Amino acid sequence: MITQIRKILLVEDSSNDAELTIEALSAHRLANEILHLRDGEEALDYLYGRGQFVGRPDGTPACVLLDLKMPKVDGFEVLEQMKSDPRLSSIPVVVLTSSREERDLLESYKLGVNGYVVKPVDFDAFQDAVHQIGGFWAVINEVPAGSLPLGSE
Amino acid sequence: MRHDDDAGGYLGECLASEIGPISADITKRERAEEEIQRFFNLSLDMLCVAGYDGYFKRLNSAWQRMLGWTTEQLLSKPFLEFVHPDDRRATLEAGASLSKGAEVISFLNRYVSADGSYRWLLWNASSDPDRQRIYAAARDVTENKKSEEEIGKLNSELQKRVQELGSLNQELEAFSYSVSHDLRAPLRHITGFADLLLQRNVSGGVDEKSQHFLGVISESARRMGILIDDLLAFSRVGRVAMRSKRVDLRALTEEVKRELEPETSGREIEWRIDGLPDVQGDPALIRQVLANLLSNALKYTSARVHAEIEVGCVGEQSDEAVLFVRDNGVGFDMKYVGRLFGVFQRLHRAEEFEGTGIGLANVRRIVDRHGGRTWAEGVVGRGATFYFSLPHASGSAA
Repeated sequence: MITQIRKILLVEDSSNDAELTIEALSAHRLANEILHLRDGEEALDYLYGRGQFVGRPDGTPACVLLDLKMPKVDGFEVLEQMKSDPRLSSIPVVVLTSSREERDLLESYKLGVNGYVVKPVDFDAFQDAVHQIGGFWAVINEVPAGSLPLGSE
Repeated sequence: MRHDDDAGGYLGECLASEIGPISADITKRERAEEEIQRFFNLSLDMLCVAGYDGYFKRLNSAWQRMLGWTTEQLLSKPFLEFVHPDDRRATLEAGASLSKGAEVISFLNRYVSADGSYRWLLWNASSDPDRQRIYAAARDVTENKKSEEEIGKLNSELQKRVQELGSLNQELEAFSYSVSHDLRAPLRHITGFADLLLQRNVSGGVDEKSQHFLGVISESARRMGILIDDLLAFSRVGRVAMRSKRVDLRALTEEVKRELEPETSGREIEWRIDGLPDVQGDPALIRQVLANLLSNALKYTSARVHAEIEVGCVGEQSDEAVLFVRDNGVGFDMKYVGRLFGVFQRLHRAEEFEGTGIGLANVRRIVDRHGGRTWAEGVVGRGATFYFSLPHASGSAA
């Protein structure tokens, strides 16, 4: 079995934030491909290989960087579905959000999040945070091999 | 007259024993009747006898006093006509149950008085089905009723206010939540892209002026980010539930001082932390008070070759400890002392000392919530002292 470099899933509705995150990750030359999904619905479609992602190549992402406040399906719903589905629950999810509110933090951990990072306003700090997240969850951390999407035959 | 009456009473009894049992009975009954008649008219409450035909048969003088109708007027019409139209059905029902022999206790209805106003009457009544009579006593409770209504109105007003406050609080919560989420995002984009541009242009060789402009853009956005965070923290201080436990102020001060050490490297600072008692309060909030006051002291002594910062206790009164943080920094003009603890109030230009103008407002808010007081003394160029009081530690360490 060939070890593939898994994708990093970036679920973020703000294209500005997505661009900054991708810049920050690529500045540190992570080998992982970053896939940007614009809301929770797209994220779930990707994970389950349905909708526009029917027939996508198998494999689960190395980690999911998840924004909380998004249109249609928000971050909490994505987190809840992923953590309650044994086929997805081992994928590390790191919430990457603007919210410093205690209740968002508590709710995320209640739903089983692996990490919670408040996006710093300062770009250096932001770059540093994203680099550390990517470095740990996408490179150092080991997860069980997955064979999703579940829907693709 | 009274004398005669008394004599008559005595004489009557004597006569009765002389004349025989029948006339004696009649005289006794007459006398009892007369006594009842006296009480009947002395009563402060309205007393009446009514027939099953719907008419009053007998009324005491209280009726005329209370309602202003003459007895003749009251006797001339069915009593129901004096009852408020809305209360007639209930009055009829009460009459129906009376006619079946039941007692009626604490029945309420309204009677019209001669001036057209309605009076609330509280009734106790019983009936004699054999003689088809209703015996009833009524009390004017209009004033009680009015106070009751007033109390009810005040109560519902209060409840409305509480609800309004609750929803206002919720709105505030939603507001700060959305500030937290949405206001920070564009700032992050400004700093992020300005920095990215700076990085690109540095490698591409951009002129110094453009670098300066980009630097100002991201620095301004960064400061606004700090401002938003401080404001959110300030609004949170007013909303969070407070814990109350024994707080070792000396240990907490040392801890805060240690945390501030990165800011003090290379500086000569003489700390005097002495005589701090245990107080009662929320440790996280009291830590914020100390952090604000100590970092202020450090900030405003930054130009001193030898800075002195003293944290101590002025004295312990029966229920509170008065504490202070003193420095030998730039101080302030006492004529601005009233503005010191306000939100966004700054006594120094941003170029002199960085800050958002929220620190001392936060200090005051936290101390207020603990039931304490805050005040300050200062001399320009000589230093400042900030005082705050906190309740004494009560009971054993939690």
